[in-house]
Amino acid sequence: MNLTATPAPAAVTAPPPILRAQAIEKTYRMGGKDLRVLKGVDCEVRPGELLAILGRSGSGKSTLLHLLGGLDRPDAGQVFYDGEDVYRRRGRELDRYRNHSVGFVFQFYHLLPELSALENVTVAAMLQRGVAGWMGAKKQLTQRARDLLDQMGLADRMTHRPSKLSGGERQRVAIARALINEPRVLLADEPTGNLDQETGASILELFDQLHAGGQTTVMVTHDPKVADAADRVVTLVGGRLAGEEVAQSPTDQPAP
Amino acid sequence: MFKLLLVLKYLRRKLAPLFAALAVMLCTAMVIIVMSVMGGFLENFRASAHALTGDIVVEGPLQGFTGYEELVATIEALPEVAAAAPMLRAVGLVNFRDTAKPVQLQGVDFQKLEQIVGYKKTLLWNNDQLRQHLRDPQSEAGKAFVAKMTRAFPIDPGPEAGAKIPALALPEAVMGVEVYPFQRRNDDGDYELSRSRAGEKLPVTVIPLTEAGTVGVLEPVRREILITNEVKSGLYDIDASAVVLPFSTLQSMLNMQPRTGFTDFDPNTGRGGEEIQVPGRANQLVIKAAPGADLLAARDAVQAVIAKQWEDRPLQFPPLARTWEEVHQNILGAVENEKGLVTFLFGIIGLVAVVMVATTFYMIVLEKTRDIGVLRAIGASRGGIMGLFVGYGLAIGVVGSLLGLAIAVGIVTHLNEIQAILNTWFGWQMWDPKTYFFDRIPDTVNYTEALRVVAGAIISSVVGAMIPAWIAGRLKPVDALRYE
Ligand SMILES: Nc1ncnc2c1ncn2[C@@H]1O[C@H](COP(=O)(O)OP(=O)(O)O)[C@@H](O)[C@H]1O
Ligand SMILES: [Mg+2]
Repeated sequence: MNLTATPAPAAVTAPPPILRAQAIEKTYRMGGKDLRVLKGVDCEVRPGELLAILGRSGSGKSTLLHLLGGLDRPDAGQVFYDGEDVYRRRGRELDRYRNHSVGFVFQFYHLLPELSALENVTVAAMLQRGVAGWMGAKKQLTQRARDLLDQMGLADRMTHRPSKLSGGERQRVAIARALINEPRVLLADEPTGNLDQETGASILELFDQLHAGGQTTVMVTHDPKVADAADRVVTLVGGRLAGEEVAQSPTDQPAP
Repeated sequence: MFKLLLVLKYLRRKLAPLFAALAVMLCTAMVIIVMSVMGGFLENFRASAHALTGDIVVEGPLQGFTGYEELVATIEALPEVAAAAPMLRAVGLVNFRDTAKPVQLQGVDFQKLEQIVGYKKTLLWNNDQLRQHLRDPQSEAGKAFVAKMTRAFPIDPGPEAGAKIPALALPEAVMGVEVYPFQRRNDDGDYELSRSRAGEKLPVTVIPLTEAGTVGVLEPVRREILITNEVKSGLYDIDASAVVLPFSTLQSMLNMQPRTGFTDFDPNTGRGGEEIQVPGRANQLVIKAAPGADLLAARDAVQAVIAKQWEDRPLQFPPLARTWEEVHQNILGAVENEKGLVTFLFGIIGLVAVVMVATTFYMIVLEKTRDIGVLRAIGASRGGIMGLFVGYGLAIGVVGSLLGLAIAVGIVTHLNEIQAILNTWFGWQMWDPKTYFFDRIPDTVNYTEALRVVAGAIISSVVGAMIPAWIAGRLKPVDALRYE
């Protein structure tokens, strides 16, 4: 990422990254022992790309994704969104960042069990709106949620509660929820990790479609096969990112 | 908006909030029921005490004071006073067959008494009942007797009235229904007319005092009176001891009537000096305050009138004016005191509600930790999460306390029916009208107080939800998400 040091012609025309992590460190303190999970991670997410973050279980992938998504605070380093340091935002702005700028998809779906599929999607649109704000946009947002679920193939599952849905269906609802506020970056933490192969493949196909539609996506996985669809693959090893420059990337062709 | 949605969902789906709402409901219902019944008793009691005493009572020494006619006239002229009347109070003895019993004698002008304290509504038997009770209404004498028994206000007709039929000459009087030792209430708590003394003669004995209050100089005086009705005032002490007769009757029995006497009269020789007019005496006044007048101000005005009239009697203690509340201070104070204790108990019940809601909510927060993490992760603010749980507490408080109010109203307004049902089904008498003097359990809800309790319950629920809400708000999204 030496854009300033060696300004190759292709790099000059490349749009600036949406998300950029810089020298991120994260240490967990457990029972008096320090566990250094991230030891200075740099990474970029460029507009329109599908970035895969690979790494073994326990390597800190989720930790990194949480930091990119504003769910935790790094011990050192910064996360820039549109060039602005995410963690210098105040609490409410950070909430807004989580709600609007990024969309999170978890391995275990994490739907709210009391709500129907449709409500699970719309609730994300309600979070940053008051009663009046919601009422004003209700029709339009509910329609958008319906469209999204429809697009996910869940047209006849809207009123079902999560417990009545299969794993794959739940994950589709979760994806719709992540997309309802039109986030610029979709952050997916092993979205297929809890699914059988066939279902996982269909979910991946969904991400592929979204990506094809221009959705910037960061996907964490420990399954190298999953990475095939990615524009770029980085691997988290020993608390650092390796293999940042992977061939398929359309925006960052290495100089011959 | 998500708060509203989730509060509604959580209310419907979970068992825990049901328990919390149930706890709030029971606490609310209990407080309202106890308060209504207690307050009802106190209210009944105060009303009875007030009705008996009038607004203000002026009490002098037992041997009485002179100049009461002038005093009454001056007091009645006060703007704070609507009406005033002299009264006599004395200890007496009555005889029922071979049973002697001490009684409180009251001499009053019944017409005045009606004006000042409402005498008629304390009468137990109405005229129809009395007519049925009296055996022989056909004869002339019987008709005259019935007329005597059923006239609006008892009088002392004087000896001439009884020239042909001596019974018609008797002074008329009413007495407390429990004065007659053989009166009993039936299981419903009602008195039986068949046991009543209405229409019976009653020998009454008093011991007159001298002007200086000396006992034993004058001989006891015995006279027969006719009981025309019985009184049920609502205060047991009164109903078990009061015999009320015309003012003039009691005054002359007590030798307190205005009369002609002699200076230096020697009772041993029967000889005296010059003939003089001896003024009459009374030992009490009853006063009705003007509508809207402040009782304490009226009392002070009355006391000032007394002080003025007593200026030229330096050796006499002036009679003392007191409001009805002051007269019944001991017993009213005791009941008020009990109210304080009950309020304290209510405080504890309120605390129980707070703790119940707090623990239930803490459990809900624990159970919902992951969902809280999810909500935070997808953009809910810390304040939003806290608001969710506080709103939840509010909802539970509203639902629980309104249900409690409904239950309390249902129970309180049907308390007497419930008691009747319990009695017929299980033979259990929750409320024995024979032992208590109010024959109905108070069954009205004071809605102002009830709504205050409802508000208290809602506030308690919100307070109870606040700590768990704060804990929930402080959860970090990642920690909550990893929570298993
Ligand atoms: N809150 C935490 N407290 C302590 N240790 C943690 C915490 N979160 C993650 N870890 C540890 O940090 C390491 C990386 O975790 P994680 O980012 O979930 O890895 P991955 O997603 O790659 O499997 C693991 O060893 C995990 O046990
Ligand atoms: Mg992980």
